Amino acid sequence: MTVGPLFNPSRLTLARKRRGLTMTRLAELIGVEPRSISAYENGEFAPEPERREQLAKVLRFPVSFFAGDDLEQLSPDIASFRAMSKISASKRDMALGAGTIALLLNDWIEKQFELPQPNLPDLSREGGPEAAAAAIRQLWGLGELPIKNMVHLLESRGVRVFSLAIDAREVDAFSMWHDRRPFIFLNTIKSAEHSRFDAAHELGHLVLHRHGEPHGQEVERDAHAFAAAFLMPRGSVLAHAPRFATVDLLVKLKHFWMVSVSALAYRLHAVGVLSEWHYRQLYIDISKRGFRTREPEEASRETSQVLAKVFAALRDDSVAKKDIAEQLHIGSEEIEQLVFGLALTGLTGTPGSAAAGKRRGQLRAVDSDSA
Amino acid sequence: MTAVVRQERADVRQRLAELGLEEGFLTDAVRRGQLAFLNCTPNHPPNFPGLAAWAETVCALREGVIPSGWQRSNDRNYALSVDPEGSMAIAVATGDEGTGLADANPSTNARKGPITLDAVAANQLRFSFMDQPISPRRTVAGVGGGRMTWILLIHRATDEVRCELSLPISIGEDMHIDAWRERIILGSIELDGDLAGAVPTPLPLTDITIDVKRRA
Repeated sequence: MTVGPLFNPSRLTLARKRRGLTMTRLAELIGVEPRSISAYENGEFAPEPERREQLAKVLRFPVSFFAGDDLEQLSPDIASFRAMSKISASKRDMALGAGTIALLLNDWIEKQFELPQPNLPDLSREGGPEAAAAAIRQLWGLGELPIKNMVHLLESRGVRVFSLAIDAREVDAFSMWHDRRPFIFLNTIKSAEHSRFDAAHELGHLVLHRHGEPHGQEVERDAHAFAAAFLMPRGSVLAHAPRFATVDLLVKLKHFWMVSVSALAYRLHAVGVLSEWHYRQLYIDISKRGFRTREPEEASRETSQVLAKVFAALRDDSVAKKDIAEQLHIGSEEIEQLVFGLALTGLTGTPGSAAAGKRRGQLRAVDSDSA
Repeated sequence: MTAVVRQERADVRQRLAELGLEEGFLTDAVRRGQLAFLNCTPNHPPNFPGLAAWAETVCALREGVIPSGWQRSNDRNYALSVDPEGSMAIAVATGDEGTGLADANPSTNARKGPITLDAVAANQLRFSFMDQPISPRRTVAGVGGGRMTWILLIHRATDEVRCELSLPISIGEDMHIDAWRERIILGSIELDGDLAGAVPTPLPLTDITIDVKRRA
């Protein structure tokens, strides 16, 4: 039995995992035996055209998606996930599926636009996360200043940053090196502060664990310590540390570094200005007030500057979201979910509309004539 | 009788060690009380922050000394931590602005009741028998149960919390403690004062501009 040219089995596997479905569940949804799904995915035989339509509908991918070349299937060991032990295989596969789609979108963008070249140091021999965070701050000329926008900073250093819209608290973020390019994916259901910390955490993995160190708690602890030290440098924390920390005071103080109230308490303890019991007590108070799940006085969410500029330039050429989606044989929602919702505002407006005009003023896309 | 006041760090440390205590136990207990005080909001009843601070300090003090063999005592509803020999007890009370200042003669804020009066009378009685430096480890049988009752006296000022561990020997007619046999001045706890003053002004940070060029 041969596989028809119109059907690529690996693309079915990807689409199914992207939706967090098991073979059995997918079989139920389209009314076939699980054995058939397994056969489609193994390439034993291809689904009939009618089945292909059903699969496309249930999986929310266009029929044409299933006909393309093999796509990069990201395996769990190339990406670093936080809380690896807590994350379910299906949620992890959904996130990795989004990663594959992002690679597709990124390739498409890079064919048409010159984006910043990757420029991250390898700090795997730096002697600990605290030293690495201090080193990269020096290297990038950040001194002791707070980081105004983590996403923009990462993008300016050549990191491709995408959003994940996965309704699972255990999927915070993940990162990977692919084709010598660093990628970071951030789940946008978290608070803006949480997302900034995730971005710094993933930067930690990219610069500390570039050589495929084994995953595990130690690696996660390092990335966590790196993130805290990167966002809240020691000198600046010691200069502004409260004399007597309370939750109310930390809620005010956190705006200085744009971090969560719990991250600030953790950092104050780490630099030694908060005793063990005081930290423990604040931790209890923060939990009691619900600030672990709902960040008080939340900052505004960071979004991608690169993608905003790309979309502004495309819109000027009357290229719409659906045009990109069609070229990539994916649904428009896939794009929206990866680009911090920018596609919704950046690509749906018709050129010259009020919304589009307003954006044009803020975005400075350089077109091909002047490049 | 003039109180013996100890404020030199080495003297304080040594004297507390004689009593089987460490300064950290006491000041951490005061800090915990202060945190409980500061965690109250205007929605708590007006007398609650002080009560919460007192309760938390009593609890923290007990948690600090119980591992060294001390015990809690709530006899007649008087919250005390009692040393392993039963010769020394510590109560917690708030003091006036003289608290923690070596030159002052502090007083308790609240009027004291009959139980404190009994405890102070017992302290006083012991000194009529002994005209020598106090060693609570030596008990005098039959006098107030042979137990000295010290007070961890705490005063919350706007920018600091001052505290001392002191041995009262007299209560005035207004039912406030007005004389001490010994005062051990503890390190004060600095506060941030007004919330707004404690928070640094955000720095004017520059935006990053990223070049995105269309390929030719």
